[in-house]
Amino acid sequence: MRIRFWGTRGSIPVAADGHMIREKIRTALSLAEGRHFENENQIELFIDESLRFPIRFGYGGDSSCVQIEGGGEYMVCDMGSGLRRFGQKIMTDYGCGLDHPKVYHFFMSHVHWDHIMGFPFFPPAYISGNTIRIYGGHSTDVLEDAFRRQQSSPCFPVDWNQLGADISFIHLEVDRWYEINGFCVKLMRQSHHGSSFGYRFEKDGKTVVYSTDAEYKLQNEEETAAVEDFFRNADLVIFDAMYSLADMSTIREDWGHSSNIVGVDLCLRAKVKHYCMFHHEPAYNDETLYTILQETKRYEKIVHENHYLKISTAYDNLIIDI
Amino acid sequence: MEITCQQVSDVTLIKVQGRIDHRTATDFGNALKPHLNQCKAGEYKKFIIDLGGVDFMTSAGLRVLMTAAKACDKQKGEVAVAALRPGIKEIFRISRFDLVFRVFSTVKSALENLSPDAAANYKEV
Repeated sequence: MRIRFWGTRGSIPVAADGHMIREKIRTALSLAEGRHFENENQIELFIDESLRFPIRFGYGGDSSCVQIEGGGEYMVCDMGSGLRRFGQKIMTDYGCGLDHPKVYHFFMSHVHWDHIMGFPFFPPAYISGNTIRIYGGHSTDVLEDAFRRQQSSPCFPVDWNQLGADISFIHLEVDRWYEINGFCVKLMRQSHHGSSFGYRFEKDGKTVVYSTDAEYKLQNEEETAAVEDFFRNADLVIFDAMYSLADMSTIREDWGHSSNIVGVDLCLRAKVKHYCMFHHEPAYNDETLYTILQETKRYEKIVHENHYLKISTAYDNLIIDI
Repeated sequence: MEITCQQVSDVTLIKVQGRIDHRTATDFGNALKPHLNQCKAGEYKKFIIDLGGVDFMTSAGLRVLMTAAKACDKQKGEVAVAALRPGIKEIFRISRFDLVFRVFSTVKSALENLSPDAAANYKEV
């Protein structure tokens, strides 16, 4: 199973501005200390081995969109702004695709704007012959209404009714297994404004959990045990780690998001193999996200007892194979 | 996990020992409650939680501390934590709890800050 991150940012897409890029260049040149590179290979080597991740790369700024590969058809969680690049990739690979109609399965955590805003910029939706199935724990009315309203005047120039693909909305119930595109899929209701839903995907003995826009307060042991059960033994958990615990317990309480260390505690309890922090705070730059990753790993080292947890921070274009 | 309590002038000194994780967090919260009720009753308003005996704490324990601090804050009371071991101190920094809690390196320094009178009457056991 391959997980491909097209968008990892929370709430609103962001982009590195000129000052941020200049700072990266300045730091890289400073670390180069005037050295001479004999060839392109040496440059690549210097970049990869001498520059930290926030200098040589970055986390990106597209909002939530995660592709899960391994079935015969396309499967994607959420349609944030990252969906635009996913659509571009398909257009590059297949052109208009009139001779190659495709089926797309979209699993919606919820329909807040940052999770649907990529759809008007998803070319396959405009091409007849394609099939788009949009699944969610919300009612089909709620799902469809959000998409239609987003793609109607005065919000967008191309009306929903002009889309060429065959689009349907499908309600999924929580705590029930579904078989979709060769995957076993289960939903869990999560604490978020208007509710959100987490997904557990299983195939060929591998499991990935997608749990974003969820506020896990860990105050009710029965509820926490249910989450633990949903995460249990997953190979990968993609988790809303938007805030620090102090933020989510004070000024951002009830904003519907979790913290980096709550994710560690839940994943350790559930004996998860790999915990991937996701839905990054838009105000955080690459250095801050990198620092949070180091701190989260340190926290895991302090509290883990007999279970080792791999920890990473999702970034746009990251690929994880499980 | 064990809690003992000592009144030092106008400061309630709560000493915690053991580990605070999801298994013990509820007990920790319940044990703190009667002391915080003093705050509600307007009897005492200043609390120092001595974490010197705590060797393990997860986010579950931090949440209990936050709930206690909020309850106290509503009554215009004060909560400070003191004597954190290096690992616990690090967890406070990582969780950013060091930005929302008053953290003191020793119980004595916490007392001096909250109540000079209590500090003068405090005898370290």
